[in-house]
Amino acid sequence: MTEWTKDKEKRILWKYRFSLTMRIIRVVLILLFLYGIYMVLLSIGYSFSKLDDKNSFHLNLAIDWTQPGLHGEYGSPINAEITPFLGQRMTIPISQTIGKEEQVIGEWNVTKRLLNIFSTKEMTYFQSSDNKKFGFILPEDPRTGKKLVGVTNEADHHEWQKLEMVHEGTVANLAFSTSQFYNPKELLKKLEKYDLDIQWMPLYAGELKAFEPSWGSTGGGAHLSVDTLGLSRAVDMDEDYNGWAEYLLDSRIIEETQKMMLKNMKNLIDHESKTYRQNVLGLRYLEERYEYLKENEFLVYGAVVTGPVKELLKLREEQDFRNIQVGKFEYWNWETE
Amino acid sequence: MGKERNEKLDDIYRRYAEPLFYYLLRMSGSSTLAEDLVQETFFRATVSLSFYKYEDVKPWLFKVARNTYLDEWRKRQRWKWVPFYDKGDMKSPYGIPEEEVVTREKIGELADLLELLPENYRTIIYFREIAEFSYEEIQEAMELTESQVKVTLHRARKRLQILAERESKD
Repeated sequence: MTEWTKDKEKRILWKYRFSLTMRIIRVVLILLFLYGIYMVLLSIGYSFSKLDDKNSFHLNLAIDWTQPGLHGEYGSPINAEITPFLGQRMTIPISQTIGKEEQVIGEWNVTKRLLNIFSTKEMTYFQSSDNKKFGFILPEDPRTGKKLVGVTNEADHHEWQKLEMVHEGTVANLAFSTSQFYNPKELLKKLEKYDLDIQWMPLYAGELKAFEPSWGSTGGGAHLSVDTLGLSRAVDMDEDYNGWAEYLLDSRIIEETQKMMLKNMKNLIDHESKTYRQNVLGLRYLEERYEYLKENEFLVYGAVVTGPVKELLKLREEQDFRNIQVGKFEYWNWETE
Repeated sequence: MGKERNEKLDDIYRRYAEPLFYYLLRMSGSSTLAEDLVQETFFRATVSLSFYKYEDVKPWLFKVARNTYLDEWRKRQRWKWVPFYDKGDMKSPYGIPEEEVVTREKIGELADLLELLPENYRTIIYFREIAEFSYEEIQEAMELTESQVKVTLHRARKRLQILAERESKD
């Protein structure tokens, strides 16, 4: 019994290997169990903190302000999860309304990390044809005050022709720039005589005058466009993110819409970091734009509108409208309110 | 890489399992316990990264075996108050008190005398006289300096001599 034998050698070797395997399995199981407990507690804490609702609200605001003609879905439940390293992954649907029919055309996939500098945002369109963003040109160079000419009449003519050629039983969306700055109420009143819905208006907020965002110039300096925010519907969200009031682009309540936009901008500036605003929400120069808008009047220089194609075609008569861009067509779904 | 490591482990196991078994048998006094301690020694050696730093693993393996034996003793001491915990006899690292020595009749050979010594004397005598370690290997296995090895070995031998003389008188 106390002698060393081959059998003993084999037995100890087998026991050693078995014990090693069992201990490895035990450690793995313990780690998996602890990880599971950690993730359950983290998810419960995340859910109670309402961080997902807060981020969802901010992201929807960013969609409304930065995506011409597109809008966020405040009412949809957000698809959000927290990662083991306290990052957050969120998917925000993006909608578009053509005529009266709203359709989800894509989503923002946002990964918010503990350090916002490493956060990422990716926009995915369900159909590649939706990957077209309306652009707007400024009526004048803000640095010099010099009036800028629009695109050629032929280019605009080509866009109007699209509307001429389609059947009247269709609806579409369309973007245009104006040859002068307008007070939002003024432009909305100008558009009231048409049976159209106004969705978005590029807002001049001191670009190239108070600060220098990214900008582009074509036609030998004749067309100037800047990275801009838009005046869109405004949302007044309650503190626990359970209910909200919506202010549409309507001449009767546009002052309220403008105030609500300023309030939401101020809220982001006061309570969120600059890296969060820039890297997660994609809102650059928000502080500068807010200061400018607070000190100066709201001015817009174009719009995204939707309605029956023949009604859109009537905008051709407006001498101030230029840089026409026809977007997407849908079958008739219009109802006159 | 993994295959090479496994082969190295197997090779080490086949070379040292037997001497480790005899050492742990001498320390613990139980063949079954010695088997368990050998497999525990190899388990600890496997998970320890420092395993690969050693050119000669022999003294290091014996150091691990010694710690395994001492840990087992401490564990048994901690749990001995639990009813039905008794896992069989195990020799104490503190040796047998001298008063008991004179009453014992079976003392005779060196191996039997060893169990009367405290663990550090027992280990150093075993390493030097039975496992034929060099002084350098004893230093490494017991984490002692050269002079501490010499002093401890001297004291252990002297103690053993006293016990042997006492036994011959009886």
